[in-house]
Amino acid sequence: MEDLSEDTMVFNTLKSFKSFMSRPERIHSQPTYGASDLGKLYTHKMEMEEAVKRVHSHTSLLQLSQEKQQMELSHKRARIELEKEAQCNARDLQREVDKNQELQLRIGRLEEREAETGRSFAEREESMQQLRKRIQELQKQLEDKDSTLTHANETVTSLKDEVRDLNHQLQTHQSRINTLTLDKDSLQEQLDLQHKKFKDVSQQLQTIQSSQTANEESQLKIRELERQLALQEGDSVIVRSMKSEVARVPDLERELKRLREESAFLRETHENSSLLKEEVEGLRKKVERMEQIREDLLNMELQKEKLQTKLQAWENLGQNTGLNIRKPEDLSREVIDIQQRELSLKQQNYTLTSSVRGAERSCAELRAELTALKSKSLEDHKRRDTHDALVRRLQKRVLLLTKERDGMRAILESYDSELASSEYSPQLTRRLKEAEELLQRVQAHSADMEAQISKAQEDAATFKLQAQTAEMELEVLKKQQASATEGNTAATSEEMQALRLKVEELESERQRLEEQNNVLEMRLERHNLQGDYDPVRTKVVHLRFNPTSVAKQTAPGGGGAAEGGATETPRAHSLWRHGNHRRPPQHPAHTGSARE
Amino acid sequence: MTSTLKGITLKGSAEIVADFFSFGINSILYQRGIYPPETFTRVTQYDLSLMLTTDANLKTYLASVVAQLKEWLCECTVQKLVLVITCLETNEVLERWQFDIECDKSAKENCAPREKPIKAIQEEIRSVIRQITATVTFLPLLETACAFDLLVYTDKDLEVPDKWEESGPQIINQSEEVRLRSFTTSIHKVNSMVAYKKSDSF
Repeated sequence: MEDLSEDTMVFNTLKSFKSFMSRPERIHSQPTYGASDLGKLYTHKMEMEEAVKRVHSHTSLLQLSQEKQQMELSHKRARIELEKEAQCNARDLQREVDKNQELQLRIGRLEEREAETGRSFAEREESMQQLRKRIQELQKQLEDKDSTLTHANETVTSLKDEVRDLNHQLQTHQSRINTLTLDKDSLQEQLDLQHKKFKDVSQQLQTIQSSQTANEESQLKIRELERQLALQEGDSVIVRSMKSEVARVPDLERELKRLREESAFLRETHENSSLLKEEVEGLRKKVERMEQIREDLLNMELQKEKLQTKLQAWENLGQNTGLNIRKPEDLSREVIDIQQRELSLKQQNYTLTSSVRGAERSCAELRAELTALKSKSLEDHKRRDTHDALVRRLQKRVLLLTKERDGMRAILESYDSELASSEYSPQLTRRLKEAEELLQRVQAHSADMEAQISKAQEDAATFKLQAQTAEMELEVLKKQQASATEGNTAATSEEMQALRLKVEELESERQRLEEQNNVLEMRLERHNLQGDYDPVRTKVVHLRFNPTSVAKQTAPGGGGAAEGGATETPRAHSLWRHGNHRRPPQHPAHTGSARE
Repeated sequence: MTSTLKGITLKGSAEIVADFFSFGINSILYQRGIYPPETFTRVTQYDLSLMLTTDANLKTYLASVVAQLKEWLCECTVQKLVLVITCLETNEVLERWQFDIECDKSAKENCAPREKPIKAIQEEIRSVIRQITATVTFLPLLETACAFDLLVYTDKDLEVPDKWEESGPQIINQSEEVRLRSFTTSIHKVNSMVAYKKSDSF
């Protein structure tokens, strides 16, 4: 409402301003005066117009500014309202969105419920189907049961039939049993009869047993009586024998005589037997000797076998050793080779010993040199020390002299300063000259000394160098000596041992080869005896028409000796002619020798 | 015999040895019964009564061999003379009488003769021939028809003459060897030995 009032205010001001503006025009249009006044009026008009315009513009400006302010205010209001509305709208929107969400949630829940219900429905349907299936199965079972029932009824009927049959059978059986019981009764009666018989028999048996015992007693008595009888008989026999013995006494005496004679004869035989025993012992000894001889013989045979095996081993040695020794010449060649090797080894040994001696000699020389060099180096050391001492002394003297010289110079300068203004006295000049001369001499002396020092130093340096070189040489020599001694001793001892071993080996080999040689020679001789020969050096020839070949040629022809024309085989002919004629009738050579 | 009382030359030595071979072979043939004894005749040589064959063929054969041997003895190219007795049925060598000859090759024809009395040589030869006769006591009987052959071991470079040919050594399988005495003319030395087949019954 306030705004509206303000707006009205603005419009009122605007109306007043417009009214004001309209008035001046009437004023200006009324005065119509001369030309000068016209200009003035015109300018005045113009000014008025300008002022009006100005006021008008001002007012319009004010109006515009007011309008602008109002517009701004309204704009602000509108913006505020808009914002308010927007906020409200946003709130509404949010509410609606919330509502929407809630609704969506509800929809989701409902959908879930729907799905659950669908699921439960499906489950129920499935359960329903299962139940239907079960019902069907139950129906089937029912049908089966019905069928089984019908079967059972049938079986029941059949069983009833069987029962009837069985009842029939039972009746027949019972009738049989009745007959059997009747039989049994009759049999029991018989059994009773038998029992009675048995009792009678047992009584009889008891009586028999009693009679048996009585019988045994009587038998025992009979035996005792028999025994007594036998004793009586024995007594009677003894009595009879005693009687007969008494009768036999003279016979016994005769027998005694005979026995005495027999004992004498037996004694003689005993003596004979002892003699025979001695003989037997002698024979036994002989037998033992024979057995011993036999054992010896067996041992000898064993030894013989051993020796034969040994001999065979020796014979096989050549093959076993693998040496290509077939002839004694090969063997001798090998022996010669071995000897040559031995000789060469000995020569090597000699050369080695000589080299060792040379090395020892050189070592001794080197030692002597070493001692000389040591003494030299010691002398050099001494010299160097003395030179060093001299140098030090000289340096000290030089220092003292330089100091003296400086002092003298200072004195001279002081003299010069004192006597600068005054005239030089001859004394002074003289003294000065003397001093200068002294100085020069001292300088010369010092120069000499310095030269000597430098010389001495140089000498010392050279000596040092010499000493160092000598030491170096000494070390080198020591090393050489050590190595030479070590190497030589070790090498020589090892070599000596090796050579000794070799020599021993060669010796053993030589012995072995000698033995082999002997064996081979024996074998060779044997082969030679058997007719073997060396085809390289020897050949065997015979006449083409020899008796054997001629005999072989004629033999298959059968009695072609005359046809062959050569020497036939008369031995064969003679064999045929004379049967078992083997040997010539006599040995003329024997007879000849006998004659001789 | 060209040997003189003064000494023995190469030729004389060869002749002595050849004669020994001639008589030795004859007595072996007689002793071993290779030829019937009625074809032999008695001769006295080396103070011994020896048997010589009268068989013409055998005589010529022996003469030719001994002549050739004499030549080789002079050349000192002969090493052995072997008398081989073979069984005609089985072609098996039963006995080998081997005479090894060692020639002194330094002895030349023009050399001075060696001084060895001829009697001593004959004594040695006699003992050898006696031994040959004695061997009959231990040599096994020759129960089959046999023939003999003479082999000569010579130097390899020797030219084989006509009618001669090379042969094998004809070694006895499983033999027993007995060495006999030897004799020497101081140029030729003859070692004699006999090898015979081991008989199964022993």
